[in-house]
Amino acid sequence: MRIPGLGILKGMRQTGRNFWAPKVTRQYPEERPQMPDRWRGRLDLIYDPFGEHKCEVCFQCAQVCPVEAIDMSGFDSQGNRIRYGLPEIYEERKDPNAYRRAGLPAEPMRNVARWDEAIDTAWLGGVIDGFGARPEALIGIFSAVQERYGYLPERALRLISDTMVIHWAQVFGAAGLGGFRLLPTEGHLVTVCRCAACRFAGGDALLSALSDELGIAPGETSNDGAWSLETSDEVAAGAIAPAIRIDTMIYGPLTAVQARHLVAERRKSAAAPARARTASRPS
Amino acid sequence: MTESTSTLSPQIRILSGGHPRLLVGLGDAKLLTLAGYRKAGTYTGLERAVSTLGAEASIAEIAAAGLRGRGGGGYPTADKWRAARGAAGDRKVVVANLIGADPTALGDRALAEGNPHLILEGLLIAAHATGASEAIVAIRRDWTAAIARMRAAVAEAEAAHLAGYLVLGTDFSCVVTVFEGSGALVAGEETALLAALAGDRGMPTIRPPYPTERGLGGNPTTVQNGETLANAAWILTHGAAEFRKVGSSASPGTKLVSIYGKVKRAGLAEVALGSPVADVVALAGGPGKTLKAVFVGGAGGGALSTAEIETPYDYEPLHAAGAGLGLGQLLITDASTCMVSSARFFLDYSSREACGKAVPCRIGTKRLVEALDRVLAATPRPDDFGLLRELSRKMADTALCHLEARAPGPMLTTLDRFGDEYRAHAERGVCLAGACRTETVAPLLAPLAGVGPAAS
Repeated sequence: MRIPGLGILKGMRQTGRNFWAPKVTRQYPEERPQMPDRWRGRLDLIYDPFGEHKCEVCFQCAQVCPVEAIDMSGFDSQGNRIRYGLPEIYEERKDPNAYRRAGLPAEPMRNVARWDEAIDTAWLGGVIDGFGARPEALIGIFSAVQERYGYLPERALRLISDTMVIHWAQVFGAAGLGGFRLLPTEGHLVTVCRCAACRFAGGDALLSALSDELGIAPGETSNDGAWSLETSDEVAAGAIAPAIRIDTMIYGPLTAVQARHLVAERRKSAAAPARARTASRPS
Repeated sequence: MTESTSTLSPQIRILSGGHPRLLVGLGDAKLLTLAGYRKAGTYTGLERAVSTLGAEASIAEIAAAGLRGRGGGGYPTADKWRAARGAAGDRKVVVANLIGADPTALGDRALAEGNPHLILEGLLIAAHATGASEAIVAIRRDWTAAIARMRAAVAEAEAAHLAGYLVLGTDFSCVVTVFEGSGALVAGEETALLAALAGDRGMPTIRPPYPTERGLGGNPTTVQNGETLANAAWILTHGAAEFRKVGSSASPGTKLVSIYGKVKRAGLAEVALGSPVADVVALAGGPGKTLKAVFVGGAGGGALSTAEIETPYDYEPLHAAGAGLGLGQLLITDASTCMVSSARFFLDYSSREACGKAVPCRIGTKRLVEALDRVLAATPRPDDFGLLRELSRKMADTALCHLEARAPGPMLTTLDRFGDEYRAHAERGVCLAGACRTETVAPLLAPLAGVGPAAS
């Protein structure tokens, strides 16, 4: 049976109880709450017993931050002023000084993007025009640039962003997920396919044999800069698995011994010139 | 067929046997030109759809044939077209998905290289049926031969008034453009493909709304796999009744299968849906040594043991067995293949190819690989097998796209069927297949819970 007004009386009973109950407002900061042991509250830097910041601006936290949210500036223990800001983020990361502090060997890195690289702007403009500057064509334009330069130079991406009126972050994001190279490669590039077809046909043996022959691990460049080794899913060997790709030519099916022999022969023949940066794909 | 005269890339070897329909004449240079293709009796499907049947009747024809999406989902093509046709919007788009997400799946690449007009015809039929005025062919960017041939085919078809404005003298117009797409695994997912076509990072979006409702630029968009489109062209050319003659009653027709692994002849075959997996394996000459397991559907599929080798090669039976059709990948393994490291390989591939948008996928696949690494090193945590199952279930529950939901498939199916291999690796540091290097591994003393088939 429904009694009119019963619901509102039930609600008012709760209100009445709370009205007369003792109040629980804590008089912060006179009263401090009990917090868990590891609670740190506001983020603050730790000081040493002499009252100096313990932070040495070593950038290790900025280097490992996956979303690159950490930006800092300050003085290191030698009194040098350092800044790790966003515009310089990649440059600073490769800074020998930052490497030294992070405990890494402080040699200048190979394969560093060359910000000053000259881009054929007229050619790139022509490529963009050829596609009618439609956003659908972005991947196609990237492909053309990579074919010409071997990677996607940052300046080319900036130019694409400006010409097509697409946000730089959007262009960079699209390039980042497309399997494109964002850094230049050095010398001849040996790619070992690691697709399922190659892997189960013995691709692992090819990789270890070539790694042994060239004396470098995947992702590295040999000391003389003539050979680089990488793995990729994109060789798409299919019926000729397991396969490797040297620059743009695909070889397969290969045994570990054959692959090793193939690369060793190419290394021996002095006639093979290193791949020029602007070389086009051989037919 | 001799290799030297074939127009296909050397990566694609067509295996004899099966039920070749789409593969008929593939590799013949005549098919690449419009004249040669028309001599083979086609574009009659498009003529029939545009001039005789009209849109509704051609969708009905596809429905009568029972064509299902060949990209792995198995969604009825006619339903998709009907949804796109019924969706409100004055600009509609159809997209041919030739991204070839998994590089081991050769079907779409073979069709695009060997018979571009067949895909184009299917695309135009789809455009006509859904009322689209714009069609986009998205091809993986490293299939350079396929891109060039597809562009040439579009130009030829436009010159012959088979595409472009006023097709075949009717009021149906459809402008076809060919674009390159990136070659990542996730790029083949339909919403990710549409994001990439919009100039964004190629990452999937939440469905619904489905692309047939709101797709490219907010317009109703039909995304179809290249093989599905080729089948649609075949149906309108030869008729629905003819199409149903091959295949199972739930899913008629054929499927292109890429067979690789420990087989005598790796390559591409076309088989009737519903034929036993054992027959498909036999097309590649069978395994060199004793067959151990068949991984159906690539990284998003699962393993069948020799006891299940008679499972019909079809959407539902494979799904019930924990595997999937995928893009037609079929990996054969023999006695010398370690199931634990195979599962780790597939998970690692999913982990590398994860686009990073969904946290359970980006971090979950990584954690699964780490747990399998601990198993392979015989240093598992007591709850590692519980973690593998629990995390896989959570990933499937919270998945943004099917790639994520199905990523743990190879691991779960092998854990159920080859639990003793996992146990030997985890507890004793021994590889039962003798494939992994285990000399340096110190065996574990306490037995672990949760290995083997899940107690349900």
